[in-house]
Amino acid sequence: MLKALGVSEDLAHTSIRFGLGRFSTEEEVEYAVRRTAQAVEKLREMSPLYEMAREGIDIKAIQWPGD
Amino acid sequence: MPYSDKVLEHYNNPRNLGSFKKDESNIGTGLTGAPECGDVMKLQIQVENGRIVDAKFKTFGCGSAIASSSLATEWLKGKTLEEAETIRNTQIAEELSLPPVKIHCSVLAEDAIKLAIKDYRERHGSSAGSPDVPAESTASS
Repeated sequence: MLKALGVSEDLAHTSIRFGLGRFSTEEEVEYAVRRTAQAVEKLREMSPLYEMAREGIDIKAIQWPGD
Repeated sequence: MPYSDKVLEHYNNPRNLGSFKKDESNIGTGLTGAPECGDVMKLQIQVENGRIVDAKFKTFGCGSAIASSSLATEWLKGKTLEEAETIRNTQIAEELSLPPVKIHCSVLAEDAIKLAIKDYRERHGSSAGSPDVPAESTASS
């Protein structure tokens, strides 16, 4: 769906979809937000791309071996 | 299909996560994968007298990719470069019980190991390579 909206492939790979219904509670939303923030911090810590972005390296300018 | 216990264990407690500092010596770096494919692995080795004394990784990707690279750093430590070159993706896939759809994660880890060794040799071998550019593979992920 994101790609249909014109979002690039690499950005689409960093997406996450949340579904809420009429029975979702505020407490559940807050729990999801907390857990998401924790996971994002952990994954950023592990990511070579986040490290490169922080160093000012243009990820798009790299010739990736997997391309 | 759920992740195997070993994959989960490596994901929850990654071994040797991080990067060597830029001014540290005797480092070889392998960078492989592509953001568009959803997997990028960076694997680094520190070598003394032909033996890998330390290894570090950073991986963007699924749990199996993170576990494959974490396991690779564990296996690399203490090995000579020649021994490290013999590590095969099939061994990684078997150790982590990777399902067929995740075999490419172990292939990436093998590629990253080979690239790190190649990069180290180019920097520190008799024919000195460029000091600042990590090796990149031509293999597809």
